[in-house]
Amino acid sequence: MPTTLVAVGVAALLAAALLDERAFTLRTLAVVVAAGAVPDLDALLWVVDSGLHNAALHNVWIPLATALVVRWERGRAWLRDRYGPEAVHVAWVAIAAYAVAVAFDVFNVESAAVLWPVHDRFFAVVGKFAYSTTRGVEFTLLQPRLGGPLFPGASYGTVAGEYHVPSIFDPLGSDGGATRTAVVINAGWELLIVLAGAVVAGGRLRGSETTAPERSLRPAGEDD
Amino acid sequence: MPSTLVHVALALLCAAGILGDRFDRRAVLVVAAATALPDLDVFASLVVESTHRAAFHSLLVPGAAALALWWDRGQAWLRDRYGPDAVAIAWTGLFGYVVAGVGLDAFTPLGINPLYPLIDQFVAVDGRVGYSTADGLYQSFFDIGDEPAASAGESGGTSVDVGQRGSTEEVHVASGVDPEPGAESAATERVFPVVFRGWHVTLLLAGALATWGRLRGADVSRDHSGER
Repeated sequence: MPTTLVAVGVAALLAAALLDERAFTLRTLAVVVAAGAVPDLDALLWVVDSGLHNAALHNVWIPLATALVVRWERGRAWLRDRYGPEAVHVAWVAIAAYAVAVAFDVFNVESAAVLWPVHDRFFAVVGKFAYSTTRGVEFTLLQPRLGGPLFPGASYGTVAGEYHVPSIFDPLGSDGGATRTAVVINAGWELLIVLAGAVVAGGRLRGSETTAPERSLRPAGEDD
Repeated sequence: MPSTLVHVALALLCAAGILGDRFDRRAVLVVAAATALPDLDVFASLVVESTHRAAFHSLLVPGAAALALWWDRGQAWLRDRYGPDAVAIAWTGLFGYVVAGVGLDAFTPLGINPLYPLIDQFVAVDGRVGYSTADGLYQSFFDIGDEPAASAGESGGTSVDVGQRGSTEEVHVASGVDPEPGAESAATERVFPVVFRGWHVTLLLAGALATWGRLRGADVSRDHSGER
């Protein structure tokens, strides 16, 4: 399972990539990074029901509803009035970071209940897409075949049922919950993403400070 | 084994962040090409055995490019020929080569051969970090331990494991072009991957989103600049 730190690293990369010079500040970076980390807060909902981890905040409804508000004229006006002219742009990037954080858990064996509470099942889209000279095109991420399951890897339970994604707060692993684990980095590539996020976003923050006076000397209209 | 496409997606995600407003279609092409370049050593592997993830994944290649870029006359030449943003785009291409092209392979279990041909040793940066109530704080990226004594009476040295995988004699990283060491028969399966893991899909999505958003954002902010 990609850890929260990886979602944070990718959120930082997205913020640096999508926010332009005026909008990229420490504050907006913090907002986008927080949006990438928020989905994993549903681990805390174990006090209510242990099925809610990877379900309560790992769904498509929250980013969809937020996107609707941001698209709505009055929602945009409210955001702009309250948080300044860049707020709408920052909101879009935060929604993207949130969606990517959820995607990390959907495209993974640990699964997420993305349609909860409308549909009460955990989904995991796992598999591969490759071309083999002996087996032809192999595509096992989805199985678009009538009668069979759409997601072959998603033979998981429901939120209300037995299935539950373990977390440090609510372990319930193979040893009955005796060991609690907080994973920071789960594989080498995760460390690389986190490092890349820190370097790129940190570099942009420093760069925007040093280039700000220089940019204002450019003729107007050149970078807008 | 992330496919070349996954490498390019990560490179573009980073490049959009590094270049900001200078990220245009030309930059996309340069960064994508620079990031795909290391994987062309699958063909080198046909000539010199097992040099995929060695020949062009060696850091000597981008090292030489960095020297040329660092050199004032190299920079001046680039600027004169390709415009004022050329130096920034070239550095970003180099970032894509090292971090997304070579790095993403180095940080997966099979690793890369970073100093080939000077030192022929594959190295992988791979492991876990965390805290568990059973083991306390743990990390498995490197391991420094006591080597067992070779014979009684001798004391063992210290073994340092930072993910060494062996030389090109011992390690062969398979690819569709060169799946096995030595000559392949016609029946040998050759696999050309696109995505092999869920996180490859997520990285592809994030890279595509960043590229699309940044290219479009440049247009939109131009159109809307009168609105503010």
